[in-house]
Amino acid sequence: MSTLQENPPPSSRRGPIIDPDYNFGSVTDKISSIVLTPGTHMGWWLGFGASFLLVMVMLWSIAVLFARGIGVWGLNVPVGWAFDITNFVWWIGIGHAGTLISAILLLLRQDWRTSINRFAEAMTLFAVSCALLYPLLHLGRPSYFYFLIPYPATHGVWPQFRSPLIWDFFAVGTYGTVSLLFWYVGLIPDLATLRDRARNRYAAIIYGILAMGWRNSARHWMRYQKAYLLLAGLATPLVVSVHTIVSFDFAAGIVPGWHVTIFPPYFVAGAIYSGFAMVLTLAIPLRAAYGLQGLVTERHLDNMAKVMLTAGLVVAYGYLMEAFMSWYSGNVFEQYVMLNRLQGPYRYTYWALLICNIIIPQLLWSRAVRSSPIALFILSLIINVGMWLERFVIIAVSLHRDFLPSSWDMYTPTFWEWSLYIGTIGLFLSLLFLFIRLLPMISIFEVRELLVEEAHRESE
Amino acid sequence: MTTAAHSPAIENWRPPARRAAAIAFVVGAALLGLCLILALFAPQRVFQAYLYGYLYWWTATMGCLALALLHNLTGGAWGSAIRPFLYGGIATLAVLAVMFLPLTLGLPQIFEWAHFERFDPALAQDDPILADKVNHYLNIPFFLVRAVVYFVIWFGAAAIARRGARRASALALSMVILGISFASIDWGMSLEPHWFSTIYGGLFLAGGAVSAMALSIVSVGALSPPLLPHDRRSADVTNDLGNLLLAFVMVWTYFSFSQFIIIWSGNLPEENVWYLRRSVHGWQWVAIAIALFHFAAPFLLLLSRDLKRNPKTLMLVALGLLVMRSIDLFWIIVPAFENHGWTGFLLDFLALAGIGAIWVGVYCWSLKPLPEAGRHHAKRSAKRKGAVA
Repeated sequence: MSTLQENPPPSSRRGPIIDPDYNFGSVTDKISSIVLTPGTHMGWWLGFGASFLLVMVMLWSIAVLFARGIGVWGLNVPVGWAFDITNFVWWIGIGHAGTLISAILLLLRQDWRTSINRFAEAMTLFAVSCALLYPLLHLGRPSYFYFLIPYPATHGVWPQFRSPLIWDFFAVGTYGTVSLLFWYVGLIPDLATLRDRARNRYAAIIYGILAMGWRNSARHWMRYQKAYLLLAGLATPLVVSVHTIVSFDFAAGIVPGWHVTIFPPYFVAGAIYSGFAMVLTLAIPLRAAYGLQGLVTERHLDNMAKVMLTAGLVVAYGYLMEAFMSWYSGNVFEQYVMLNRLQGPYRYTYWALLICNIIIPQLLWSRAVRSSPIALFILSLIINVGMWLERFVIIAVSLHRDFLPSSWDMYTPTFWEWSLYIGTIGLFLSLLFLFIRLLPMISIFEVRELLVEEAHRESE
Repeated sequence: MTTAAHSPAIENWRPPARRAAAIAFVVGAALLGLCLILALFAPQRVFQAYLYGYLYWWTATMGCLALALLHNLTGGAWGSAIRPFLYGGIATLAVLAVMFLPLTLGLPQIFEWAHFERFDPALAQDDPILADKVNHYLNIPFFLVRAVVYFVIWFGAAAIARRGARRASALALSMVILGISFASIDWGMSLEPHWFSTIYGGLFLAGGAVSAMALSIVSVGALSPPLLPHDRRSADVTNDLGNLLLAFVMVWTYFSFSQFIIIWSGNLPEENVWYLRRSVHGWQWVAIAIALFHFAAPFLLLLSRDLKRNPKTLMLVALGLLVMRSIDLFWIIVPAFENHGWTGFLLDFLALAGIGAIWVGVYCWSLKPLPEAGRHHAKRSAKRKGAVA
C-alpha cells in the first residue's frame, strides 16, 4: 500500500494540504479553542436556534402523523412511496461520503482526507439518523417496528428474508452501528486532548469519561491504530453495500422504472455524489466562519470537486443506460416510463434533474470553478437538489403511472410531508451545530501526524 | 535507497525476443487457417466461435486502454510498473480492427436480427419488438457505422493514452467507457435481440479491467524479472497490483451478482430467459465454476499479503483469472447460439487460441523497454522517490 502514497497524483503540486505555517501547538490551539473557549458566538446561537425551531416543526409533524395516521400525507394507491422514501434515500445517500472519506481514503492513504474526515463522519451519523426516521414513520404503526427484527417470538411471525426491505433493515442498522463506532473511536485521542486542556472542571470530567482513560502511551497508540484500521476495513464494504441494498428495494420489484439492473452501482455513485456535495455545502461555510482555511485548504475543495465530477459522470452513465434500454427493450411499459419522465405531468422534475445533476456540474471540469469556494458552494447546493429530484423521479414518478392507465393517479405532497422534510433538515443542522460546539470538528491528532509526515518529506 | 530505485533495471530491461512474437504469428496463422478450412463445412459455427474468441481479446485490449487512461489521471507506482504492458495491449488495437472485418462478412450467420431487412412487413407482423429494433438500431448498415465510430474513439483514446494529458485522458476515458458499453451491447447482448440489461456494458468493463490487470501481472512476472529484484519496494508494487486485481474481481462480482439477483427477483419472462438458458444442459456447472473460480478462489487467495508480494504466486492467480475470463465469456456468449455439442465448443476454443496467438504476437512485438510517456512517468516517480529517500 505504501507505494500508492509515494506517487501522489500530480495535483500535489497545487498548494499544500495544510497551511505550512501551522505547527503542533497552533493546530491544537486552533481546533480545540473552537470547543473550549467559554462564551458562544451570536452566530452559533442564531444558527442553532433556527435549526432547533425546525426540529420543533418536525416533532409537530410527527405528532400530527401519529395522531391522525399516514393519511395526512398525500400517498394514494399507485403512489404508496413518495416523499418518505425519497427523503430516506436522499439522507442515506448523503451519509456515504463520510464513510468513503474516513474509511476508503484512509486505506488508500490519501492524506488529504485528514482535515475533513471528522465532520464528514459526523455528517454521516446525523444523516443516517434523519434517514432512519422515515421508514419507521412510514410503517403506519411504528410501535411495531421490532417486527422487522428476526427474533424467536411466540407469535411465530418471521420477517420475509427474501424481501430487500429486511436486508435494508440489516444494512442500515450495521451502517449506523459501524459509523458510530468508527467516529467515536476516532474521537478518543482528541477527547483526551480536550480533557487535558479544559479549564472548566465539568467539561474536564465529561471529556475525561468519554476519553475512556486515554493516556497517550505507546501501547495505547499501537492498539488504537490496529482498531482504527480494522474498523476502516469493516466500514469499507458498507460504502457499497448500503446503497446497493437500498437500490434493491426498487430494483427487485417489477415496476417499470424500478426494475433496472444498473441500479446498484448507479445508486452508490449517486450516494457519493450527493454526499460529497453535502460535505462541501457544510465545509465551505464552516471554514469561512471559523477561519479554518489553513486546515481545509483549496486542495481539499479541489479534490472533493474532482470526486464529485467523477461520481456525477457515473450517474450520467446510469441515466443514459436507463434511457437507452427503456427504448431498446421494446417493452411498452419501459418505454412509457421514459416518455412520461420527459413529457408527463412531472416532466419539470426530470428536466430539472438533468440540469442540476448532469449539465451544470460539467463546470467542474474548469479549474477556476474548482478553486472558487463560492462557485463550489452553489454547485454543491444544486447537486443536492438534483439528487433529491432523482430519487423523487425514480420513486414517485415511476409509481404514479405504472401499468394500467385506469389505476394511474397523481401525487401531491401535503403540508405535513414538506414540514417533516424541512424538520429533518433542522434536526440534521441542530445536531451539526451541537457537534461543532462540543467536539473537535477536525481531527487534532491526525492533523498533527500529517504535519510530521509533511515535515519529514520536506527535510529529505 | 538510491535516487532511482527501479530506473537502472528499467533502463536495462529488454522486451522479449521478437522470435517469440514470430512463433506466435505462425501458430496463430495456422490455427486461424484451420478455422478457415472448417468454415467450409460449418460456416455458421465458425463465425460464432470467431465472435467469441474476438470478444475475449477485445475486452483485454479495452482493459489496457482504460487502465492506461486511468493511470494518466491518478498516477501511482502500480501504473508506472505496468505501463509498457498496457501499451503492448493498446498496440493490438490495429490488429483487432483488421480482425473485425471477417465478422462483418458473417453477420447474418451470427446475429438473428441480421436475417431481416429494415421495414420488413412480415417481421413487423410476427415479431413487432424485433421489427422495431431492426428498423432503427439492429440493422447491418447502422451496426457497421457504429463499429466504425467505436474504433475511431478507441484509436483517438489510444493516442491520448500515450501522451498522458490529464484532462484529455479524463474525456477519453469517458468516451472509451461509452464505446465499450455500446459495443458490448452490439456485439454481445444483441445475440439475443429481445433481451436487455442496463448493466451489461458494466460486465464487460469490469471483465476487461480484470483481464488487463491479470495480463499485466502475468507479463510482469514472466517477462520482466529485472524489474522485480526481491527488494521491499518492488514487493510493494506487486502488492498494489494484487490489490487492484482483487478490487476489479470484486467489482466484476458485484456487477454480475447484482444483475443476477435483480433479474431473479423480478422473474419476468422477457428477462429470466437469459439465465434460464444458462442454467440447463450443463451450463449450470459452468456457472458454478465461474462463481467458484472467477470469484471465490481468487478473492480468498488475493487477501493474502504474502501471496501478493511474491510476483510468482501472484502470477499464478492472474493466470487462473485469465483462464476464467475465457470461461465467463464462454458462458455469456455461447449459450446464445444453437447447441452444437462438444465439437462445436472445441471450435470456440480453437478460434480463441487462434486470435489469441496473433494478439499475443502483436503484444510481444510491440513491447518496448519504456515508451516515451512511460519514461516520463518513471522519471517523475524517480524524482519523487529521490525527494523521499
